[in-house]
Amino acid sequence: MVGVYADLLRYRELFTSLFQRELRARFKGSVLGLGWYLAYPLVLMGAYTVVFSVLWQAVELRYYPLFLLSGLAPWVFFSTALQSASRSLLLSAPLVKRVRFPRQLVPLSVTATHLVTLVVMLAVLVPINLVLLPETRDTIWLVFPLGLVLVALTSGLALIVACANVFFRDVEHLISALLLPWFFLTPILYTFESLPGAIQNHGTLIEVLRYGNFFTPLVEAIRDPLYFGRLPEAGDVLYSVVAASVALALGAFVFRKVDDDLAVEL
Amino acid sequence: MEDVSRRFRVRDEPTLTLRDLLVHPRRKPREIWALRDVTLQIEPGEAVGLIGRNGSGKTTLLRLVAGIFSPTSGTVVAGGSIASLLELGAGFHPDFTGRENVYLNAAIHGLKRDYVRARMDDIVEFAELQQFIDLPVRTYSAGMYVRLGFAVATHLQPDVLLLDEVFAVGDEVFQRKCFERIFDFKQKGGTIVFVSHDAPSVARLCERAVLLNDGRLEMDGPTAEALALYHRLLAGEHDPAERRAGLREWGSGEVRVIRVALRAVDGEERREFSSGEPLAVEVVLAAETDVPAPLLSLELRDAAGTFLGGASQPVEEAGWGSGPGERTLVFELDRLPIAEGRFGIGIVVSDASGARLYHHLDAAAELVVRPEGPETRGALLLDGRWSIRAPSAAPGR
Repeated sequence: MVGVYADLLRYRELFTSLFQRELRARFKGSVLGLGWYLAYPLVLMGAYTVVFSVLWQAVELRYYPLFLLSGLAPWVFFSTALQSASRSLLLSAPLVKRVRFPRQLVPLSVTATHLVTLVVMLAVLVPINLVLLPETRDTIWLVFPLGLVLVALTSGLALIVACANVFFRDVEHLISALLLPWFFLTPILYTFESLPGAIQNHGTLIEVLRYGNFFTPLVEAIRDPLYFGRLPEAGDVLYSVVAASVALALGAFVFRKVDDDLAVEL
Repeated sequence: MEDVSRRFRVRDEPTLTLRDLLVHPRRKPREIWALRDVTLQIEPGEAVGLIGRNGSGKTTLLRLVAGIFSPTSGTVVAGGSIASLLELGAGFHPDFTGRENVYLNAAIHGLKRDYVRARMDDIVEFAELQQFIDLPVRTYSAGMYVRLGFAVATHLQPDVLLLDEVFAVGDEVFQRKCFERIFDFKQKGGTIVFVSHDAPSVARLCERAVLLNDGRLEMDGPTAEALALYHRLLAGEHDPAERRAGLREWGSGEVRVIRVALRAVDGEERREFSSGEPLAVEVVLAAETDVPAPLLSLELRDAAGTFLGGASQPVEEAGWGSGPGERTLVFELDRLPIAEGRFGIGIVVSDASGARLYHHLDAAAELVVRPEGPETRGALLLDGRWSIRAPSAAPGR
């Protein structure tokens, strides 16, 4: 099972080539070209900031935009990576059908390109938080190991989704459709504590949302050191690490199982 | 390859969706065995041709060797690095330049970037794309696309080269270049598996050919024999489209050539003859309707397809009769005027005036001529004698 991911190292030149191909292809021929990798996250963050701080404040929090962006950055990475990954094998069909190479590199390289966006967003967010939220200075480094957990979780799921879409062509549409409600069910725009009357009236529902949605503990675990300046809850971290491990294992398992049929099905 | 079989499940709709799982009950898909119990061994340095009708399993076999998927049963073991030209320009990204695509393609095949950088100039030169190499591939013509694909693949320096119908495209000059390159590769000890419908190319490149029919290994032996069997199988195929594709034939079809056999003086059907031996060409014609006696021509071509000679004769003289049905005609040569080599015999059947073409069948039969003795060389047999002419005038005049 480890072999599936070990190939990343063994074939790192190929991985790099695929990564570069994906990276440049997305904005090839556009006005900004690679500049979009900087512009897109900035525009995104700017838009959310304007809407939610100037126009409408969902939650009473100090520097609400920073709160929002701290939860948004991991989500944007997760959702865009999954969507791209779901299409990735299908789009690379000509290659897969003709040459033999480790195919897991395709969804994984696509995921890596979205990591670039995440890094850009964090590169902007972390300095700002360090300045405006002095309590984060002790804890902000935790974002990096937790970021790795996020990447692991996303990579495992990317593999599953990419393989699934080859056999069932509507998986990519399903994922896109699911992501929107999923976004609202995850406490990115809000926290559960801040929802009026929620905890009293719908206690069990909140608990279900909290732990049934495997992304919630991860967002909270990342946001705690990044925005609140406090240590993430042990439960959240444990849950996320387990979830990421399961995702990686499941991804490798699914991939190994269908690897051979991929060329046939495409 | 040992006892290799590969089954494909073919569904009526090409793709499944999750909805299909839930809404429609699972219908049992059709099973197609692309390959059945194929056992094959190829040694390093061999050039093996892979021939057969469309759908006989050639591409599947090639893909199994390339490791693109596994057999349903049996084992495939392939050693060394393998480069496949299964379709030229695999994975070229249209928005990237030719140069960028070369790097990408090479990386896919497992080559290091420095290695490719050192050879980039060679590749560009071979493809004759010096002015276009830095333009996006989507601006290339089909021919340029092919040239680049081939240039990259042949510079990969693999141990094994898998070629699938790659000479179907490109102009003659380029095809010749490709052939030379592949020949070079063969000289250096590389192994080649070559799939083609083009009998002359297979004959030129491969000493050994494997004939697949309906997924089964029909024959594995010297190229000429495998090709002959292939043509016989094709001739027996009644689907006109298939025959045309394999045998290069055309015509309106009122009279068709069903079978061509070469017979020795004792009536034995053979493919190999000695130089100067008597030969009879037996042609079985089938007339669909009542057709007047046609004009029957025989064409002799060498392995490269050059027309060497022919004989044309209205059949009326042989006693055609009337009405539909089959007739067998024989063309007799007292002495085969060929020294040695491999030749193809084509038959052309047209109406008596030659205006309406009923059936033109290229390569209807293959003829192999063995030289009579060590002095017999070349294609033609020149039947003469040297003698000394008595002087009739003063010498030096």
